[in-house]
Amino acid sequence: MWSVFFESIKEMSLKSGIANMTPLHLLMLAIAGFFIYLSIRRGFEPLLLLPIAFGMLLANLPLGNMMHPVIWDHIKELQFADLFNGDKFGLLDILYLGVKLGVYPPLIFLGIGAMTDFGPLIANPKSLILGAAAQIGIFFTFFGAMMLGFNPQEAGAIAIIGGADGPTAIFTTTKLAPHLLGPIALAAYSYMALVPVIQPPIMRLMTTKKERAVVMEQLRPVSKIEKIIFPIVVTVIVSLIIPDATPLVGMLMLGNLFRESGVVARLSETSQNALINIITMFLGISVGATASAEKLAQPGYGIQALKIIVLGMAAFALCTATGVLFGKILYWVTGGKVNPLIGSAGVSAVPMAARVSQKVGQEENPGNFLLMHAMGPNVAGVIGSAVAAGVLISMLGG
Amino acid sequence: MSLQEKLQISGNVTFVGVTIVFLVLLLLIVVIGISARIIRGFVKPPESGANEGPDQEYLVSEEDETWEGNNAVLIEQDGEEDPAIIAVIMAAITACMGTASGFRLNAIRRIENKVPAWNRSGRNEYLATRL
Repeated sequence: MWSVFFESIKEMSLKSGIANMTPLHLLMLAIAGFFIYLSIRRGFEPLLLLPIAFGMLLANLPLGNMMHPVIWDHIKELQFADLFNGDKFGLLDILYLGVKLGVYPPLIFLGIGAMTDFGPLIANPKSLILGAAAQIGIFFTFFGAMMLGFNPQEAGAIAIIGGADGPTAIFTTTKLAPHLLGPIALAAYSYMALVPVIQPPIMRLMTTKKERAVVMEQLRPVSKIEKIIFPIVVTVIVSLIIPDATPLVGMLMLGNLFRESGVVARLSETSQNALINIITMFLGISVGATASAEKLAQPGYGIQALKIIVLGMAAFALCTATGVLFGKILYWVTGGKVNPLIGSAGVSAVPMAARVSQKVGQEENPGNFLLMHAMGPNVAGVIGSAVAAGVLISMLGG
Repeated sequence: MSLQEKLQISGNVTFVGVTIVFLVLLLLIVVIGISARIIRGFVKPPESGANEGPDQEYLVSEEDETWEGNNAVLIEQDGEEDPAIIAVIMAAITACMGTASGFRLNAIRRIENKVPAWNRSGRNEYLATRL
């Protein structure tokens, strides 16, 4: 009897996760633990980083069968019956469908649109120049990624990190290089959290004390009808010129129309609260699960991930620099009426990038409040990065 | 892929990408500008300070000729004033003066506030970080 008992215990232990744990699994679990620490203890984008990190943890528990990112990399046609095959697909695989099919990022944009006030942008449309300028870094990074050996599709997906917009980065990556989704999403959200650390030195380096101390004129009031027309006009123009940007821009502007119309308060409320929270959970956990030990075991994947982290940082810094550079150009053109610091807010990262502009401006003049002036380029950056993503998908997509 | 091909693709994507992004956003600037002008032609813009509240005397106290010796505020109630606010203002003045005697508060008037709402919000946020 005892022999049967021990045999059963031995058999079960061989089938346990512990017996099947590899050093790579341990490494990935440690990385997941590190990101959980960053999100909880350090407050780095916890809304997304925490589910991403826990998704990574779930996917790296051997034999948990929660997620199979390697299968997704090679899958061409999905058989509906496969979804119900418990051995092949796990819970996170099912949730990952929303990423794979490009559903979650536009729905997140719906919520962002419902939360965003485009008033400062409408009051000062020139802010759009700064929103466009901050996207130049994306294309410079594309160049760098190509030189580092990535193919054009991978380079496009990596470059979009510079847009500092998580959903846009995920959307672009799923279209161009889905096999790199894990490291790109992690780099994008990590650098977004590091906006207050990365941007200020670049901003100080590129501006003079006099420029940083510029107090900008009060923005004009924006009428309700302007705010209602804005999302409709932007959707039509952007979608007609770059159809690939329609899912992101269309949903962003639909959410904004919910907000500004004032007649669908319940839809606006749901979009900016319940819906975006639910989608954020699904997006985070399924994206995190794509970073698995099996993928890390693929030849060259680790090196690629490291290159992505470096290039992501470069993209972010370049986008900040080009935004500030155009801010300086506007400063000169307007005879000193524009504070160049608002240019750095042209990277999306709403509203953190605008807050950084405000903070750096106040270091020179505590009575200077650049926040709303910086919100113009900041929300313009959301549109700009979506347009840049559409351009990259259009030029590089299959 | 050769270096020349890489340079060619990178140059093409960079040039076309930057051009299109700028063109689209410049077009939006033009359209927003035009639509704003058209709309302002039809819709009367809100008057400056219209939402800042009436520039009116918020509270008037009348000096009671028979009263002297303390700083209690005499209030002419018109049904709008919150006694708690009056008490807070009085307490703040007393704290600033360092004494509760030797002065009399006759009136509390709301001054016209031309500071924009977002500016006040920013200032409050800044002050909160110093508390």
